[in-house]
Amino acid sequence: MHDHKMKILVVDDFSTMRRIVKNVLKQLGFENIEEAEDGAQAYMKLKTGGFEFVVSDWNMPNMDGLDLLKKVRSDPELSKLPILMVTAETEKEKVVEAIKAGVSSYIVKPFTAEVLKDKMERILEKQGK
Amino acid sequence: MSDEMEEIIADFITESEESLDKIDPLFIELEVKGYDREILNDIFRSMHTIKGAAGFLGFQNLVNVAHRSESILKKLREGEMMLTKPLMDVILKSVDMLRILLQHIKVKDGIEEDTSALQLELESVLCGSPSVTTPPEVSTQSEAGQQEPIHPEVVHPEVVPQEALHQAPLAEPAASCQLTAPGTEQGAAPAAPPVSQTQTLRVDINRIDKVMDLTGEVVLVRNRLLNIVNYLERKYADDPHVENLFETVSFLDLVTSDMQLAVMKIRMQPIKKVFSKFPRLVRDISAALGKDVDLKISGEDTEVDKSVVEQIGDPLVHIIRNAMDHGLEVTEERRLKGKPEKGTISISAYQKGNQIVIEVTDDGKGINLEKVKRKAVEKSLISEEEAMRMSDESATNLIFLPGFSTAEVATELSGRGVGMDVVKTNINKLNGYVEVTTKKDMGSVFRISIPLTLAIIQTLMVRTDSSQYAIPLAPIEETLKVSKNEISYVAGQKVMVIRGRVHPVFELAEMLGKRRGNDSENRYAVVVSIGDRRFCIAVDELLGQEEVVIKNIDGIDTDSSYILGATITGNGKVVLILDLAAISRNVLGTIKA
Repeated sequence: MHDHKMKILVVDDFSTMRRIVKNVLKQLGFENIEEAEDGAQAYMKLKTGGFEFVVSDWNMPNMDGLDLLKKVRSDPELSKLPILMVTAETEKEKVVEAIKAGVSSYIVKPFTAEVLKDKMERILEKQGK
Repeated sequence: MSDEMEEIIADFITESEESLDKIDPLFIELEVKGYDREILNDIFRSMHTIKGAAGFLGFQNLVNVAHRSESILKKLREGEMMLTKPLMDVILKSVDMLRILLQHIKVKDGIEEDTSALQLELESVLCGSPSVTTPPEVSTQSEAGQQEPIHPEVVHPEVVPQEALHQAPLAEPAASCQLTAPGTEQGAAPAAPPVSQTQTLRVDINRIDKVMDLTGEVVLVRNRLLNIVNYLERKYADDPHVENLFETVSFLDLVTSDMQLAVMKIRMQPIKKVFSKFPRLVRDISAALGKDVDLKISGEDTEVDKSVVEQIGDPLVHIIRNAMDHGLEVTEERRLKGKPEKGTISISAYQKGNQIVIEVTDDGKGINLEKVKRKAVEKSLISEEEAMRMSDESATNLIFLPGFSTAEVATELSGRGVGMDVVKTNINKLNGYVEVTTKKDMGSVFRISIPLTLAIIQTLMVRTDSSQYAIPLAPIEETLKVSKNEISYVAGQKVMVIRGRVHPVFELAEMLGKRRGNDSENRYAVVVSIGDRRFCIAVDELLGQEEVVIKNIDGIDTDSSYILGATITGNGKVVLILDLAAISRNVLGTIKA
């Protein structure tokens, strides 16, 4: 797969979820992973630069995933950053909103390493083009 | 299972329990405020996150319960359902069930809780709701039956190309442009500035305890240094070096105290963790008793040692339950007395010197001391004569005697076989004590005082033969000066009579397996009360009260040696601290048999 040194930001307010996602990413060989607790913290981290991929939860306090997405897309420095949204099956209707806001893709939890790998590859392929 | 997985599951349990703890008070707040989108969203989020993580970890039962509660919460949040009491009850029931399920995972008992009844109930609430629009996924589930696990289908596995967006029937290009425009970001909550975020670090408790331990060591060394410096200062008052040493040690003294406090604070947690469960508790009890109760909580930010947070919950629950059941009058009675119909229970916490004080106050009828005394006489806990002479304060304390319960008929709530004596024992375990003040028709106050830290305790220093010992102060009832002939023998056991009651007497030296020297004419008896046991420890001399740092002694079996630990006094003497609980268990066990 792609560069395993790729710096990835995992955004979720529930630390167990961050660990789970990190764990799945590690299974795929990624090691350079950082965490953020909500959209606001994530945005601040992203502004410090160097991130190449974001896996974000949706419903979070302070700034939710959708607002983070909008903020990133409207920021010239970050607008091209791939964002993969993690959703629950009950949030299907919200997916439309995320698509409108320019999400790179979304993934329904719980997901396996293979599904995540597939999603990430597709996104990065698109990016490469 | 891999260690990594074990760790993740342990984290998941802790974090989920924390999330669930937040839900109860939010609901109570909601009950007062009525509809509040923010609160509902907070509750929804907790459920949602638990469900999400549980899904990954394969805890299907958790997912099923959380999923259905979440669906209800979502409807509530969107205003498609009204919050009613039965609805709240069923959600609170789900919260309880989630706690049970987490507990099973925690203790790994492998028990599969049957959640189908609860799921049915949740389902019927969902369907029977006067909802305006039923989201499709809800109806599909009810048709599929509640037993079916929720398998998320992987929808649209393809990547959504940004350029292709305008082809999507739902999205108009203009709309999507507007959405991404920064001007429309009014919904983006004010990003919390970095400074306001509390940075936390999870650390293994053993590491913190190690630091605590070493700090205690430093404190002891400091105490010795202070002693030596005081001596030197007296002897060589004119020597500038001694002057210098004195200043340096004074500074060390100051820094050590600060360090001790700082280290203690690492283990401290706000008592909010315990208090947050009470709104729900009071709500449930007031419903069961049919009494209207107002709960006031203050000082929930007061910080206490972690072990206090873990152990003070049960005694407090018991006191609150008792105050609501026996303290508060029924509405009719309150009206007749001209009191506000709604009773009030106030719970407060504050720090007072080196103690944390927790008070539970009710504005009920107060404790009927005559009735208490009568009951105690009936149960032969005290004699008729004692009852006559007894001060009000002592009479109040009768409620802490084992086997005491004032209610004629034990009600479902208060009479569960455990009484106030258990409350007292549990608080004593934390080296604390509980006192009650009561006034007829005004109510009662239960005041619990606990030392700020468990590593430092108040002790009574005693001497027997040539050795000095420290006895923890909390379980000591009183000390008496006794002459040799007041101690008699019953079946080979030394006993003495204190106010009409026979107490077994143990020689401290003999208990510790040492040979005693000659008995002096005047001895001292330390009267100890642990649980339902009272006994006396005979010593040669009482040296006074002292605050000591407990140090563990490696390689001794504390249970059979009756030694809790050791401490070093200011003059450098190592003094053993007695373990009264172990003494009560072992020594008394042998004479009862």
